[in-house]
Amino acid sequence: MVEPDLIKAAQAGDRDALVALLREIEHQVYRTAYYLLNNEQDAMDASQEALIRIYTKIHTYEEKAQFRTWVQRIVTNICIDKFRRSRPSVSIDEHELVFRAGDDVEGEVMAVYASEEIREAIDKLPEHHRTVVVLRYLQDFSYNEIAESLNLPLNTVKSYLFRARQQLQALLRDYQKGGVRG
Amino acid sequence: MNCQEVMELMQRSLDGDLDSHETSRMMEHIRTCPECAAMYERLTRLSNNLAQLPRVVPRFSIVDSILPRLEELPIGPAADDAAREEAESGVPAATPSRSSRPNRKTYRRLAGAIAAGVVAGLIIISNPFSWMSGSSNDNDAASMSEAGLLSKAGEPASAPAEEKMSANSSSSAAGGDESAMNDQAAPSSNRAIEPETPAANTESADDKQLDVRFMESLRTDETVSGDKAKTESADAGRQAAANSQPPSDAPQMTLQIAPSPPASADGGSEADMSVSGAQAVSKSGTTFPAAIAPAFVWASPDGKYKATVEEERMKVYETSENKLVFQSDVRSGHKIGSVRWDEDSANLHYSWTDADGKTVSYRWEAATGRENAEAVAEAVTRSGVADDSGNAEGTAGAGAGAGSATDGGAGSGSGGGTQSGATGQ
Repeated sequence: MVEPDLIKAAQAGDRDALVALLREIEHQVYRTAYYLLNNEQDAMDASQEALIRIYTKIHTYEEKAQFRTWVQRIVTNICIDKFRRSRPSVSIDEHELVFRAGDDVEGEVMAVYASEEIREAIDKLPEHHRTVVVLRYLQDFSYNEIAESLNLPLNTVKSYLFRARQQLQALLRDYQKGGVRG
Repeated sequence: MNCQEVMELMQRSLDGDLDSHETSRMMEHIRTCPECAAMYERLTRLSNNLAQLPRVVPRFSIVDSILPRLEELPIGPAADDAAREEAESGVPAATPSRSSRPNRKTYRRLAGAIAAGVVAGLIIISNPFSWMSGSSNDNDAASMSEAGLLSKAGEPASAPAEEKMSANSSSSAAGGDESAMNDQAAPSSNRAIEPETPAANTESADDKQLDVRFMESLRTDETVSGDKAKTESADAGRQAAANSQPPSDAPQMTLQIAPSPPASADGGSEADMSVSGAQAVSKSGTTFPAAIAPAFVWASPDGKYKATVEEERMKVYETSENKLVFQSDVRSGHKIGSVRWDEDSANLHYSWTDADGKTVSYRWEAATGRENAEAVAEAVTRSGVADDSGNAEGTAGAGAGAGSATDGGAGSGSGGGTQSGATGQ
């Protein structure tokens, strides 16, 4: 949690305060960028860009929004732009959303997914779903905070998050079934 | 409760969004439905795994890596431009790329410079007769002889031509999309190099008539028929005679501040304006946004007052204190023309032409600070090409001292043509 006084000093034009503020948020910025872009170098680039934008735009932050949602809005926007530029859009076939159950239930229940697998599954999600998941799990944001960050209605946030989790569990289950894991 | 409803409850339960009642309903269903139970297991596991994803940290401090750049950046409201530039430049570390890419401001400055150059060029060669000879050459070979009259009057004027050339080349170098003015400058410059150049020199150094008309709407010379071109050239000849009269000492400028009606092949005021040099300019495809109009200021000879057109009204300011001493009524859709000061700065003359071509001349008296209507010129009814000269006769543009009484065309401030009215006074 960034101190409000630090934000105020930064907004007043105190460069040292502004740099100190950036140091406080750089990890959370990087973490979002890393999980959205699934690439260390891209994440560094996006984080630099986001921090520079925050540095020059700090005066536009208004207290009615939470500072951390404001920061996440900036970094997610940059990542989504970057993502759109760098790769063709990925979408998941609808059939993967179908509620599947009943087959070989016990065999998979006990499995534990490796974080590598999860990251790759996240990477396969459409950008908004991915962003919602990252904010929910890597920033521990509530529905409301996600809605504030992404400027989306609450119901849309929920719908994205629920669909994303359904997609992820389907993807991960296919993973296991594909015999990747011994 | 069906499985789909339970799915929503399970999802919300993962986010701690269920109350106790909802939780018990969900659990009740799961106990009796193995499929939902399995799904609940998987989702819970997924959610736990997601929550345990490693909190990755950068290999080195990102802030440290951008510190040198941050020190160069402005902060606060003035930083907006810089930030935008940063955002556009993609990878921020690539600082050198900034210098190699001209930014928008550069383009804007360039466009402004080009626009100024083009305006200067137009003013230099804006003797309407020269433009007319050019357009008649374009449109009708039969008019060559008359245009020839004009070109005899002096040596080829290389300076204006060069100016136009340079304006042209720089505008094309600047690229098309940065400025509308830029777009429009190119065609006009191209055209300006053509035959009117020899005629341009008929404008001697002491001929101070300026006739610049800024058209907001785009017109092309396609609207001018061959017949009319002939008429124009005839006028050009007559007006050339007028031009040979001792030129007025009072600088004259015509400035159109209102959008013109769309061009039409037979169109009233439109056609009338075609006899003016300014129209020749517009026919060349030159259009200027009206936004630059306020740049025109008519200072009184004694320097005491400045007249300018703002918000579709004539305004007079006292130069020393920049105090507004007079503003006319709003003339919406009118064109200002024939603006000039008396030698002794006692009166400012100008005329307004409405969309129907009706021109009213006014005189603003410095002593009283009041505006008086001087003369009214009715709209030109255009029954035939001959009307160009005929109506011009009856037109009293402000300060229109007819240069050549022998032909009606001289000094005409006809209809929309508030332009060349004062040529020969």
